[in-house]
Amino acid sequence: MDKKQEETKAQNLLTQINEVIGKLEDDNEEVVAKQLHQVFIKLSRKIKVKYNGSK
Amino acid sequence: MDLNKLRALAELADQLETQGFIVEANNVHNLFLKQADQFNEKPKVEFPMDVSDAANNFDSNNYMFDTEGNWQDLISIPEFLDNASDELTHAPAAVDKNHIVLENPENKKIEVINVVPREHWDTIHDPKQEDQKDQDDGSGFIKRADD
Repeated sequence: MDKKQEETKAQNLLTQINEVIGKLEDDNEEVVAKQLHQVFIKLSRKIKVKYNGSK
Repeated sequence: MDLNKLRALAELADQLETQGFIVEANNVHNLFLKQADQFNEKPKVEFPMDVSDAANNFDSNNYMFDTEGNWQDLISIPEFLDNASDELTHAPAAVDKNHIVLENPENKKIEVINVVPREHWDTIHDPKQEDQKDQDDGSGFIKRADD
């Protein structure tokens, strides 16, 4: 798998996490949503660094 | 949290791990574990009566109580009720054929009183038998009847 494909998969994963956060918030599962949001932020930074700040 | 969201968390943890984001995978996995714990079945035992009612389920002529759970020092039901505090006699309880289960008001722990029928009385360990050790196997126990 080339770097571009890896990056796309990682971005898809971010999107997926974001969707789960949205569903949790819809159901007032705010605590879990907040914790997952922290994971999202950290992962987002990590992906940005890993793929040379693209996107 | 419903099962669909729980599955979504499990799937996220799985994908994070697959893509090498181990720290994040662990974090999501821990979230999953916390939420999944809500689905652990906790046994629920109803206590429909108090200890006094539970004790009165048994005929005092034919049953005695082993309150310490050591199969010795049986006490009669009237003696048990006389010695019990008001708190204890009103504590929540349940019964089956040979036990009273209750919530001890002193420590809020669940405890069991063995209810011993007459036919077993003479098979229960009697400390007085200690004096006659040489006459039997020396254990101080008389062979207990099968339950």
